[in-house]
This record gives sequence, C-alpha cells and structure tokens, in this order.
Amino acid sequence: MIKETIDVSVVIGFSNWGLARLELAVRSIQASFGGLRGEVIVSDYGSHSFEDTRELMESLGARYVYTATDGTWSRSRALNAGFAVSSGSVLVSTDADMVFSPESMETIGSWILDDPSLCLLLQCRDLPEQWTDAEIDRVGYQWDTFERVSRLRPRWGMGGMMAVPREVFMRIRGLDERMHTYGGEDIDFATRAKRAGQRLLWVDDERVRMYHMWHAPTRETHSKSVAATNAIEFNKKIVYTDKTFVRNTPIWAHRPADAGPLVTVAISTFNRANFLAESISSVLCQTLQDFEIVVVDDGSTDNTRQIVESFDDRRIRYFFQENAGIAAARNRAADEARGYYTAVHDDDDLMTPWRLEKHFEHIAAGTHGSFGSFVNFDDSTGEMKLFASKILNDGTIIDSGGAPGHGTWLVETDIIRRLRYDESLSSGVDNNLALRMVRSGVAMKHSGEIMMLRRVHDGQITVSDESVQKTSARQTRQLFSYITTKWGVDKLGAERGPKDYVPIRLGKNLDTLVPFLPDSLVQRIAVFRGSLECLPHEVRRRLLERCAHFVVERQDEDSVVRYSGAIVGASMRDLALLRRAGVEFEVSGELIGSDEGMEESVPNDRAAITEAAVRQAFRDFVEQAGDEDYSSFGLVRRIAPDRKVSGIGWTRSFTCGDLKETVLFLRFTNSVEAFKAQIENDWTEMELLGDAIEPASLLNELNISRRLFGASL
Amino acid sequence: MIIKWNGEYVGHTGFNVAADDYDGEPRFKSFWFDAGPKTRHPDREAVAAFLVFNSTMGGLVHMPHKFSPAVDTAMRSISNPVPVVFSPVEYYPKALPSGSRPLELSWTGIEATPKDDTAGVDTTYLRLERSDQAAGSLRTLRGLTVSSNAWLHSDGREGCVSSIRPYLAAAVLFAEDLDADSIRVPGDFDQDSREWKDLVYLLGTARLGLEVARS
Amino acid sequence: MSQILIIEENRVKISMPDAERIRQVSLSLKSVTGVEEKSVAIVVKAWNAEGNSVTDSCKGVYYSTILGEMFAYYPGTPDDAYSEPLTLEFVEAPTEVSFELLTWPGREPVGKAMFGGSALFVESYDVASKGLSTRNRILNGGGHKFR
Repeated sequence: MIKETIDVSVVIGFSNWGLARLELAVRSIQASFGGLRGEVIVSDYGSHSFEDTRELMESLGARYVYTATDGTWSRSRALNAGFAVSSGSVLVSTDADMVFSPESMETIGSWILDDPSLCLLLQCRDLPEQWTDAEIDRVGYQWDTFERVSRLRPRWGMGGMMAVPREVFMRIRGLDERMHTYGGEDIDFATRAKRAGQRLLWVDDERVRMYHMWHAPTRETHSKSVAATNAIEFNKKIVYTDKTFVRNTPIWAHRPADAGPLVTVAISTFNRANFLAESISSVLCQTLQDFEIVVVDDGSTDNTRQIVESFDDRRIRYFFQENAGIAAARNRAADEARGYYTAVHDDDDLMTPWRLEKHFEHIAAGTHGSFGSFVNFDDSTGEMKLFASKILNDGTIIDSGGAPGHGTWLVETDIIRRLRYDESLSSGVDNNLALRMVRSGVAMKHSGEIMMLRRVHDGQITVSDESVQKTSARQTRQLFSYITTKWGVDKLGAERGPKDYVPIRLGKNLDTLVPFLPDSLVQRIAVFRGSLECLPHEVRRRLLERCAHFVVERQDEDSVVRYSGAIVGASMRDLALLRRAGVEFEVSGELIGSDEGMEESVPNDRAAITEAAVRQAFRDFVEQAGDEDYSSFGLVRRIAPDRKVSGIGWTRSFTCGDLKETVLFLRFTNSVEAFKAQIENDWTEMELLGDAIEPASLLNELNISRRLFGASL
Repeated sequence: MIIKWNGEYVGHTGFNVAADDYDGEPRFKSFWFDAGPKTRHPDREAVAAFLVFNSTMGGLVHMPHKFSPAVDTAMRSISNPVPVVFSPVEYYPKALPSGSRPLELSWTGIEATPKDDTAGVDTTYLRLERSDQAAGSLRTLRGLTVSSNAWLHSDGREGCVSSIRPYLAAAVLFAEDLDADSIRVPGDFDQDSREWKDLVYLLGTARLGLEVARS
Repeated sequence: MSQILIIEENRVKISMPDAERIRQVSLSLKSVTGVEEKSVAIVVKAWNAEGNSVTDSCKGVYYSTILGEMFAYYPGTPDDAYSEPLTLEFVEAPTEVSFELLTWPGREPVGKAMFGGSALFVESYDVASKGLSTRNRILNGGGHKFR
C-alpha cells in the first residue's frame, strides 16, 4: 500500500469533552487546509466513554486514537499519542475547544514548509459568552463577527497552538511525557525546540485566527487540590530547571512508528569475536533502549558474524567489509547510522548500564554531544582503575593534547559524517577527530559519569601500537595549535586549574561497578519485577527456569500482569533480556572467588516472597489510583479466588510455586466507605492505607447507616 | 541575538553570537577564520552576519557596528514573515567600499570555475579551506586562501542557496581586502528563484554584485 | 497464607504474620445474646513471637483472682448495633492475641458464634521497619466464612 503523503497533521488532545465542541473544532480545521494535504487526529486520552466520539470522528474523516489511562490527565501524553500515528511533514498541536479561520492551517503549513527553521505559536482569541458551541452550531462559523467580538486571551503566553517540522518533533522526542495534570507543556516544548535551533514566531496574521468557543469553566482549571498543585509545581520545575532538549529518555511511551533510533551505537570490530558478545550485551542492558547497534566487521576471519547474529535482535545491524582499517570501518558505521546521535563503543569494552541515558542529561543548547570517564579493568582479576577525563576545550587540548576516552563519546552523527575519521592514519584516529571537532566549533560536555569499562588485555591497539599513536597525537596537536601565539597559549594556560576536572559519580566507589564486569569475573543476582510479555514464550520460559523463585501476578485469575523473581548467577544476556522486556531490575554482584556468599542473600521463603510481591503491587495501586476523590485504600486478603470487583479496584492473584493467594486492591472516598464495603461484602480481613482509622467513629457511622437504611449493612 | 566580532586566544577571528529569547540556538555559535580581514565595513559585516545566522534570528538582533538603512531594509524584507528587528542602524551617511574586479569564490571540495568571457579580466579569488583539515592562511597578490569553519555552517545541500550562504559571507567580509566588486560562486543555481534574488538584493545593499560561475 | 482471624465459638484469636507485631486492638461486639441475668467478662491472652505470655503488659486488662485470668470489661452491646470499641494497648508487642467471652458467674462460654458480628481494629508494625511502618487492619468476624 502506498501511503499518501500528508503536509500537515493537526492533533487535538482531550479527555471527557463535549462532542459538539469537538466536532466544530475538527470541521473548522479540516476546512482550513486549502491547497495542502491535511489530516486531523483526535487523541482521546482516557475518556470514560468513547464509542460515540469514535463514531462521530470517523464519520467526519478525522483519525481517532484512544489511550486507556489510570485517570491522570496529561496533555503531553495525549498529544504524543496523536502524533504517534501522524504522518504530516508539519505537526500542529491544538485543543478541543478552538475553531480556526478558513486559511489558518494552509498559512501555518506553508510557512513551515517554506522555512523549516520556524516553530510557530498562536495566541487564541476568546469569544464572548453568547458564542457557545451550541450557538456556533446553530448559526455556523461567523468569521467576520468573531473577528469583531473576540478578544485576545488576557493571560499572554503559550497554549492553543504550536507547529513545528516533523524532524524537529522527532529530534527532541515529542512533548515531555513526565508532565501531567496541566501547565507548562507548551512552553517546555517551544523552549526545547528553540534549544534545538528553531526560532519562535508568534503568528500575527489576519489569515490565521484561533477562536476559543465559550464554555463554562471546567473543573480541572479551577481545582486546586493538593495533587493538582503538586503537579503544577512538578511541571514548572521541569520547565525552569531542566536545560536539556531531548526528552522521554529513557522511555518514549508514545513513540511514532517512523521515529528513527535516538542513538546509533557504532562498533567497529576485527577478529574479536571472543569479546564482542559481551560488548554487545552491555549495550542491550542499557536503561535507555531507544538505540540501534551498527556493527561494522572490518574483514574478520573468526566467527564474528555468527556471534552478532546469535542475538537475534532487529536493532542490531551487521555490515561486513574487506579489511580497510579502523578509520574506514568507523566511517562506514557513521554512513550506515540512522540515529541522530552516535555513541562510540569498542568491541572489547563494556558500557555501564546508565551510559546512554546519562549522555542526554548533559546535552543542552549549543552542545553537540557529551562524554565521560572510564575505568580500566583487568580481564583476568577484575581489578579496576579510574581514568578521569578533563573537560574538552581549546585550552585543555593545548595543555595536554589529549581527548577523552573515545568509547565514552556520544555526538551528533552528522558531525562524524561530515568530519569523518582520517583514513590516512593507522592509529590515533579518535584523538585526531576530537581535536578537529573542537577546532571547528563542536562542543562536547563532560557528564561526570563513568561511561565505560575498558578491558585491559593482550593485543590491544593502544598497547601494541603505542608509539604510532603518540606520533599521530603529536602531529594532530601541532596542526591544532599552529596559529596560536605564545600570548594565546599563556592566556589559555592561565585558565587551567581544578575546574578542568569534573567530579566523577561513583569514582570513589568503584566496587559498585562489579556487577557490570564480564560474566567470567562476576557472580550476579538480578532481582526483577515486570511483564515479560514481549519476550518469546521459549525465551521467557528459559529465563524463569533460571530463577531461584518467582511470583506470577495475574489479573482476575487470567492474564499475567507481571512476574517478580531473582536470578542467581544472572549472565549479561539474562540482564539484556530483562531490559528488552522493559522489566525493572536491580543487580548485585561479587567477584568470583570473593568471600561473600551471594546465594545467602536471596530470600527463599515462598510466603515471604509472595507477601513482598503483594505489598509492592498494593503500593503501585495506591500510587496509581489515588487522587483528590479517593484517599482510602483497602487490601483485602484471604478471599475466595473467584471473587471479582469492578469499578472500585483490581483483583489480583499471586502464585509462587504451589503457594497461591488472591487479593483485592480497592479504593474508597474515605475509611467509612471502606468499612461499610467490608461489612457488606463479608470480607474477613482488610488492611487500610490512607485516611486515619478511628474505630469509635467508624462503628458509630455504621450504626447510623444501619438505623437509616435498615439491616442491609 | 547579540553578534560580536572578536578574536579567540587560540587564534581565530570572526563572529561570536549569543541567542536571545526568540532566536533559535545556532548550531555553531562562532564563525571564524584563521586570519581576519584587515578592513571591515560595517554594512558588509552586518550582511555577512545575516548570511551566516539568519536562519536562527527570531527577535532583536544586535550587530557589532552601525549599518546603513538600506542593509536594514533588505534584511527585514528577507526575514519576513519573522519580524526580526536589527540594530544599530546608522543615521549619518557613510562612504561605501568599492572594488575593481570579480572575486572567484571556492572552498574545499569545490574548485573555482572561471567564466570564459572573463578571460583576460583581472580577477581575485578567495578559497576557504576546512578548519579541520588545514590551519593558517596564504595571501598572494591575486587572492587569499584561509582556513575557516564556514564549511560547518553550510548545510551542504548541493544546488541550494542555503548551502553557499556561509561561504558568501566570507567573500563579503574579504571583498574589500581583495579589491573585489562582485562575487562569483561556483555551482548551479536557479537565478529566478526568490532565494537567489534575495541574495542579489542583499549584496547590492553592501555594494557588491553576485554572479554564478557556471562550469 | 494462614488466617489472621480464627474464631472458635466464644473465642477469637488474632495471629499475625511472622514479621509483624501488634500494637493495639480495638474490639467491638454486636448483639451478644443468651446471657440472660449473668454478666460477661472478656478473658484476654497475648503471646510474643517466642510463645511466651505478654498479657501482663497489656493496658486495659486486669487480673481477676476469681477467674484466675487477665480480663477486660465487656462493653455491652446494643441490639443489632456495634458496641463502643474496647481498646487494648500492648506494650510488649505480641504476635498472637486471643479474646474469650465467659459468663459470670458460671464461667460458661457465652452463646454460640458470638464473634460472628464482631469487628476488630488491629494496629501493628513491621519488624523490619523497626516500628516505623504501621499497618492498620479491620477484621470482620462476619466474614470469617471465606477462608
């Protein structure tokens, strides 16, 4: 099927909204595309009932997307869910109570198609009270009247409409999905677009008008509950303190199908099959899974290809070339890369599991990449030594000539593609590239993280080729500083000092890195919790077989919600599988041969294990189900397995070996309601969280109810 | 956006910019040469800065020196629909530099291609070498070769006007030093396109001509 | 999972999971019948994790020389309504507590399944949290048929 190309995609995000208003909004947008090909996507984020909306939207020719939620409203997530199915070159977000004048989207779309450096913003005009959706529906869109009677929204600021080129949306990874309830999403998005290079243009053009249909204020805009206030504060904090622009790391929940990987991990390899598997596994264990791995095999004669293919992971792409040297292989990786950023990774090294995620915490406006420090480990003993990198600028290069460890870099792929590794050099190509980048104006930020565990073994290039490498570094530095005068060198030298070194997280606790050393050196325990749904059945079975114990949590006796368990002796491949399944886990480890007995630290009492799983699930429930309406939570134990609840909570069953328990997680407006429900339903045991429990008043309330409503209670 | 002309300790000379509220963050904040022009006319300086950084200019733009109302008008017109406000605009009339010969512009990977009908005519040249591959400069009687990061500011899209804007900026800055009257760029461009006409208009306000040197 | 609430005719026992200790229990009874002219006493017993009696340290419980047991005053139950709660605080946090309803005089068990309409509010804490993590449970005597 050939997909029709779309110029403009307009997404309306909403929840529980009047159908009439929505229809007017959609119709006005559809009529404003002019000569452009447009689509309207209505993203319903958790409305209680939605079949009517779906039917109406589809009859209008709009696309309808529904996302089931836990009841929390998030404009960011709603819009992202809509953009996830969009295909337009220009992406426009708006709200469900706005109508657009007839040339609006054509103008907005054309401006961005003509000049992709723009991020457009539009301030709405409020219609007076008589112009409700019902009235507009009755008399039609009266654009001339609207222009005359409407007034600019009194609170100047973001909101209403934003438009950016599709590439920009992809690059900054959409709206920030951490934000919820309301407030701050638009300014956050616009600010990030600006950091990524877009100039902001408030549209003030008579062809583009956005009118707000009058309606009674909604509860959300006036509710100042503690939860809402906290959410607003939380959102504000993101807007004012988070200086990054690439978001939804480590996880972009509403990711468009056509979004490329955020990162390409580039591995060039030559006859290192023995180390490569672990090197790749360490990538697969990353907390940020939005990557692809490009392996360029520079003419290996060992079983490198088989090793790569054994992972059976579509994110890994293998390219073979006749042996052409390290620089050519790295250039090939850059040419094949699809990620906006490239993380350089060597075939014998291991990434720390946070590496990719941490890079993005340090990429702010004007920064093209980030790097960190690394730890050398002895391949036979596991002994570790920290190598702290200096910050990277003209001064530190002229001072010492050295660049940070290559295997700690993450940089825009386009920069590597344009500067390229120098294929005339046989060694020191990374240092050469770093110096050429800095000389040309590329800025890389020190993350203060240990990004890589560098395997010290026989046959390392740095060991076997040290003098060639030093010569290459010296010559590159001579070019770098050719035009620098002595005065300049002195000035740059005067700026050197302790600030050249950044404090290294975990730098004084290298023991915490033990679990991330190779399988041959370490005995690990991985305690995990999560759905293993996306793993193939056979893989899941094998993984569970490796567990000392595991608990299966089911919903209503049927579908598996999640597994929790502990794998003793977990390999890096096991950890990679857990990560791929999106499972939370904690891993601990000891060097093989150390005195610590790992097995002893794993609980083996099934009752205690199940109890822990029940309690964790209950905490999850309280976190998800609590809001201003519900503040009392019940955990009902020891019920018949066929007991079901609807509306007020979940039924969950927990199985650990032959042990099984079914429980109810319930939410109530207060503890009196909870107590009443318990008596009415004959639940023997209910644990309560939330509101304070005062036996005398609970009993009294129940006695009053009984007198009023008879003996049914 | 605040645009400054300055030198760096390491030895470069050129523009450094700081983005303001409505500006996009420029991908690279500096635009430099290993040797700066000896003379810098404020009009040409403003035109050059505009050529390099225009795609991120979104609000108030402050140039290093006062430039003419004609340059201001051209920049505002080209920026439309983005309402960019440029300052400081000169009030008193000032002399404009004049040159006598065409300038053949070329850069790493692209050779200058002189037109047949200019054979025998005195020409100058400006060649820009990639900052990551060469350092320093070489002035000859006829022209100048200099290392610059201009290439990194180019989007590299062949045949697109946007790809030559940074190189053109360099030529505008060095035109006076090289006694140039017009700039001749290599490549194939649609001279009827709005972008090309905008460039001709803009350079015209700085008393420079623009031509395509077809191969 | 073993039962926390065990009811045997005129006796109710609360037996906490291993990792928990009882801080306080409030007991409420409903419609105690068949006592006629006699009065009712609640015999209270509490044991710690090692199985030793810690009833002595319970606040709200008294020793009766005639009964030879620790007992609490019966709160009196209105018809078809919950009584005022009888609250007992345990200083030496036990893991097991039992209540037994006896007539006085006579030391006869009171009626049959007298705890069928009772409600017990149990406040306990998790040993691992060193007392910081409090748990509140409501045990419903009427619901004990679901095991």
